[in-house]
Amino acid sequence: MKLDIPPTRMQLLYLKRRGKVARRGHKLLKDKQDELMRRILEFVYRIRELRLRIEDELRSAFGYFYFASSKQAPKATDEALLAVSKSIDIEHSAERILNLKIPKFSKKISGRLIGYGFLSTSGDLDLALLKIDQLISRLLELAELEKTLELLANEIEKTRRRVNALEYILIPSIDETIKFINLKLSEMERGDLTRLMRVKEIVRSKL
Amino acid sequence: MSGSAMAIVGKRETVMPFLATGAKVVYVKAGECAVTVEDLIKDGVKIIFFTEEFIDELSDVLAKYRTETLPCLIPIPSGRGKTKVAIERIRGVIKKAVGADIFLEER
Repeated sequence: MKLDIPPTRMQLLYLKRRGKVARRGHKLLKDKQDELMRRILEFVYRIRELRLRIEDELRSAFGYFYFASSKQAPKATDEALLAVSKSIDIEHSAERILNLKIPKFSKKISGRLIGYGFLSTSGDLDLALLKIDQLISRLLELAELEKTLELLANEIEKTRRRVNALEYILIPSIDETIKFINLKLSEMERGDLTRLMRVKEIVRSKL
Repeated sequence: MSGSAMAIVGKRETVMPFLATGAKVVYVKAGECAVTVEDLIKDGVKIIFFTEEFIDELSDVLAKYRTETLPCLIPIPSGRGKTKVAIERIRGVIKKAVGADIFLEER
């Protein structure tokens, strides 16, 4: 599609400059897209492994937990869980991947996990709680990775749209307009030349 | 209770064991999950894990915070059988970004 620009020499120079910038931008964005793609592939495999592993572990922990709570009085389970004096503090910082800010978490744990007696609870409860406790750092990692993946995916989508807009819309229309102005200018030059020749002829015939 | 930066949301019987982690555990019933999660985010909770069964309820909230660095909203399996919603979600995200299904088949 031709841009709506007057066919003058000034505009031609301006368009040529714009075309150069657009091409450079296109190359940069394309590189960015490739890099994002490479990163996302790395994350995909890590997330897949991690998620499957967490799922397995969580299932076994839940298994122990249900087993325990069916063996003991429901109140005993509640009491045991209330007696957990642990607390977890999450600190978060941001890391950069290209122009993206991705979160990083670190945890600080204080307090004791098992604060209940042995009498009213079954051993399975201890197992379940210990398992879940060990899981938490992996869950945090999963949170980090999944968020990163989401952000990367968004950015890839955005970048791809930009790359396509440049590649298929802006650059072709600039090229077409440059061609159009070139043709128009040389047509005007030819017109000038013939007019000049004609005038010269008329002037000469009157002498 | 400290651990205000992290919360686990789900049905009572599912998320109760997570009390052992020291994180904030919030019990919800079906239909009130979205509101609860929004409240948690407003309170400054940075990481929210929720059980997979609420993923449909939370789709609006998930879409809203999709482009933000924080909070992280992460589905976890509910421990009852295998629901593949969470994996499907990631698969969808990747499909949209890459244009191909590269998350590969299940084990």
